[in-house]
Amino acid sequence: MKIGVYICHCGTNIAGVVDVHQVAEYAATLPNVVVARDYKYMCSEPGQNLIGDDIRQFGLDGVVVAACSPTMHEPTFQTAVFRAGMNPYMFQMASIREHVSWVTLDPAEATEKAKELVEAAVFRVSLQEPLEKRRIPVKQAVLVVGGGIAGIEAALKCADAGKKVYLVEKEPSIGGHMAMFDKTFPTLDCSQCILTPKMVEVVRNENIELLDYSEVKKISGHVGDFKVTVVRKPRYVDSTKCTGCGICVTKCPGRALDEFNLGMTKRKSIYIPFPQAVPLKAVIDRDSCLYFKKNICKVCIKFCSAGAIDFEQRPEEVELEVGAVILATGFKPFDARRVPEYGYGKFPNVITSLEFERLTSASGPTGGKVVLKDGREPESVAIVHCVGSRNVNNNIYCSKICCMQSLKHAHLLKEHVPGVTVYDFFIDMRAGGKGYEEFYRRVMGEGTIMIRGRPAYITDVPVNSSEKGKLILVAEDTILSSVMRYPVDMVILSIGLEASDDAKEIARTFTCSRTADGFFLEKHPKLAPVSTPTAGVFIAGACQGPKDIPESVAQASGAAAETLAMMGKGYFELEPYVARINEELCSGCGVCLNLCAYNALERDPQTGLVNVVEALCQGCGACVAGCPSNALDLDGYKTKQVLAEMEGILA
Amino acid sequence: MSEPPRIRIVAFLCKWCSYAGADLAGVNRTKYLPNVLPIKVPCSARMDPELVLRAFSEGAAGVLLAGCHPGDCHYLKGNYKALRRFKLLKKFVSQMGIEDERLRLEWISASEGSRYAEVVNDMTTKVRTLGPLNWRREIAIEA
Amino acid sequence: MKTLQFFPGCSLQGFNESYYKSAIVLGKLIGYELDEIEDWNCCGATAYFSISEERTFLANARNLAIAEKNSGELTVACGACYAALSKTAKYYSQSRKISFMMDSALKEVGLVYDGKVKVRHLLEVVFNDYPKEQLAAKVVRPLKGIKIAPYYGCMIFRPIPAAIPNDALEQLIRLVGADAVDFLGKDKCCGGMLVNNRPDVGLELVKALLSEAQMKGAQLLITTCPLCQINLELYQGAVNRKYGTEFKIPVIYFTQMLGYALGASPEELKLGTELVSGLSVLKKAEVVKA
Repeated sequence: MKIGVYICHCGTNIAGVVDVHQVAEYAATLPNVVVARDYKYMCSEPGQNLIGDDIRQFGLDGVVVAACSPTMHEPTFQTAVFRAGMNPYMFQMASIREHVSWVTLDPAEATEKAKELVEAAVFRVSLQEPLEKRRIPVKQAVLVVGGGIAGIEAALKCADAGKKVYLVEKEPSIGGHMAMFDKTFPTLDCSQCILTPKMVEVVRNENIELLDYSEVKKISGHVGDFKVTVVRKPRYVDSTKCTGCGICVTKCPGRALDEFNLGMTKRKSIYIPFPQAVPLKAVIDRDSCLYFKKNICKVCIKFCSAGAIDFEQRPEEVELEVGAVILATGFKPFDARRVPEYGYGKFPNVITSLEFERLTSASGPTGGKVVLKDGREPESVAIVHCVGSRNVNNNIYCSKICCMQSLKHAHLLKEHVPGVTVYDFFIDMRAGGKGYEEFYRRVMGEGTIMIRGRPAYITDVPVNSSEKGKLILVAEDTILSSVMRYPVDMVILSIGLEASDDAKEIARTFTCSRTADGFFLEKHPKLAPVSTPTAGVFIAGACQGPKDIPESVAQASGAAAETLAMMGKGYFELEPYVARINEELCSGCGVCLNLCAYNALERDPQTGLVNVVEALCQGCGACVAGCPSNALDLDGYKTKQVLAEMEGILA
Repeated sequence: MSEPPRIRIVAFLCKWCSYAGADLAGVNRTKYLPNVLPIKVPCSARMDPELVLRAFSEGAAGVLLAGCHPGDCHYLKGNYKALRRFKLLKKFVSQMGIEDERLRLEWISASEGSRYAEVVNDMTTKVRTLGPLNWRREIAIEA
Repeated sequence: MKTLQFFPGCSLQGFNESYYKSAIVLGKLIGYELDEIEDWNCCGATAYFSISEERTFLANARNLAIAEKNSGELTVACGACYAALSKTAKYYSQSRKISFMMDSALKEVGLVYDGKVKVRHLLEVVFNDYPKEQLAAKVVRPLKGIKIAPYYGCMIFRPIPAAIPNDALEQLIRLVGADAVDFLGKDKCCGGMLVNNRPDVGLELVKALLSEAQMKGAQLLITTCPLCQINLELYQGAVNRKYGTEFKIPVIYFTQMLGYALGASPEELKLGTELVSGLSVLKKAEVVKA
């Protein structure tokens, strides 16, 4: 065995703490090591060439690089050695940056630890064997979960490339939160106007199958070949017959709170979610429907000329086969009741930013008029930033879009209510996108009073006659260094974004992790924001973290691109870490069979011994650890290799 | 007399959660004691009791096993299997006279960098107090 | 019947004896006994903290060390004592500098503190340790029709929040059959010592609270702190003189309200000795037909 060892300085990241020369010198003394070097940046082109040249010159058949985490650069170096003619699995990395130089105070101890990890890697590589990646075919179909702007965009891009797309949306209509907005910043485009054409394209596109009012129940399989079970919830209306004429809605006597208008108005028990809904079909809410509650009425049946009402509908399960999944499940608006000091839910004229979007919408509860709950126009309005964000009591992160949304609302208030006084209470003003800072200046010029200070509380208890009948915000204007009282008629709380309620469930179903804030975990926060550690599962939009519409669209395109790249190749390469059985040692006891979560082990009916189904094996090693006869071993993580690594540490 | 041998604790970290968590501790430059040496395995379920016992016999003063939180295992239920094996192993190992603090199982997720550092510091401090495992020597005497 | 190690604090022994007496009576009714710790010293309240934080910690270190000798829990009834003791306990565990200072001082007087005392406000005990259904079942004088405003004062919630929801008093008010007023000022400062040294500030704060109570139609205010009770009741006169207002709202302790509803006699609860009669308001409760 001829091993080359390379110790990276990583600039001063490693060399500043670890004595890299010493480690290289030590490595040179280890068995089978024919060359040991240290170099400033191993991942750079000259660094990689060092390895390549040595492979050719010395005939190396094993390489160890001690540098950053394998999560960062294992693929980089594996490709480098492959290009120089060596099998990429005869390579091992020792992380002496994330696990040594960045975390150890004493340089001497750090150097000791680095030597132990390098020795471990060298011993391991000596026992490693060449392996080949497994190629599995990729089914040419995509599952997109979530029909908001990100899901719609991802679906359209994949469909345009000729792939079959299943778009699953849990609400009766696609459109997500964007459908609820009135205008979008900074251009003040009408949200529905720019969204609706895309929604319509979704149903027009012959490659997209829209499963509306449905949810994913189960998924099994692996990248390239997922089997998904989707449950189609019953609308109690036959979508193939319903024309969306709306007569049933006008006749229905049942009432319930309208979710689209955030409970500010009522809708009927049979309803079409909003005028531009896609699909434009009715749906019955059985919790408020008189037929389901008391077995009476059925007025809708009487008036539906298409005969589309069907109270007997049952949930239907549909099985799909796809090669990849894009999760675009969006966000949940922060519940402002969790900040009781602001009186949301107690004072009728304290509303959320989302409720304000509905107020200014022409199709909203007030037909686009900005009025107080008693119908009067407000003389003064306060906008409060960061409700639910940037504080330890609720969420520590910044929800990114609320500053721009607040400025937009300030502008819309001036537009809708002539002469209104607008106060905007902010901590910092975040206007980083294209055209955002310019929009901020414009709004400032319109006369909104900007106050840098977070209101402590909102009260309706006046201390003088001018405060009577008003809502008073008590806040410190930090620029004036003064605590002030601001009496207004209406308060708009700019609420933050949170991970949706079903994010945990979805993460479990699709084997996704979540970051501490509850949003889905990306593969790398800088360089791989739309893929996840689970091969074949991609994420896009607000489900990955708070972001605005252009970013959601960009991420959706990105996720689609990654999906299409995979499908374009037609195959996916899986790591070669599979379980192998030594038939001579296997006694057919069958203990391993129940240990496999993927059904990758089966008993041969003739011999009674156990076989490994390579295509299904995920390489976790659970069976290997459980085999009483040591008949099973895991390629790439063989027992002898792990023991060698351990020996190198403890020697 | 030569210096006492360096206390080494072998840590089996699962690739998806705990190894990533340890990486995060590094990225955050969280400082911790340098006596824990990580070995990356695909899943905590790969942990074979034999590996643990060999670690002790080869001179490890402690063994740390870390995996994903229950319910979050990348391979669905690997961590539950690891837990069952660990419980049995713990009983066995204590019967052999190895102190409780030397063998430890923790659930550490990919976002818990500071938790990894805490566990490392806590376990290292406890094991340092116990000193190196004298197991090998005792066995050698009996043999 | 459980025994609670109790720190009365200076106010409960003197001016606000009614709080101490009613707390004892309430204990007999619901199942606790107050065991005053021996040889306690003044906690310093808010006054000493503003002069010297360090010395306040030392003063309270002594109280905590004494409390730790018998059991790990210390109950207090006064908001200021609660703040002073719980702050001392918390900083002991979080700051090495402070714990070292405390340990050295305690050593001088032969005392030891291990950081294991849990400080609880009496309201926490009453609210958490007794099932609501049991308390409700003991009500014999339901206060139907009486509008009561809950005033917690600031220190039970800040800086060390007691383990109660922010509507604990409202729940107890409803439990005894009365109407809880939606009192926004419930956790706002009563002015504390400022009513003395800076009446322009202190009385302003008292006025704000009384105004809201009056505006919302409260017939009675209940409190959890003797200092707040003094400010709100005793200084009503000063506020009226300064601002030309006509406040006349009784301010009693939550223990007195509960005790009365659970059947104790007004004499036992020291009701009827207040400046503005709380007893006459309580007596107005509608008779509930059997």
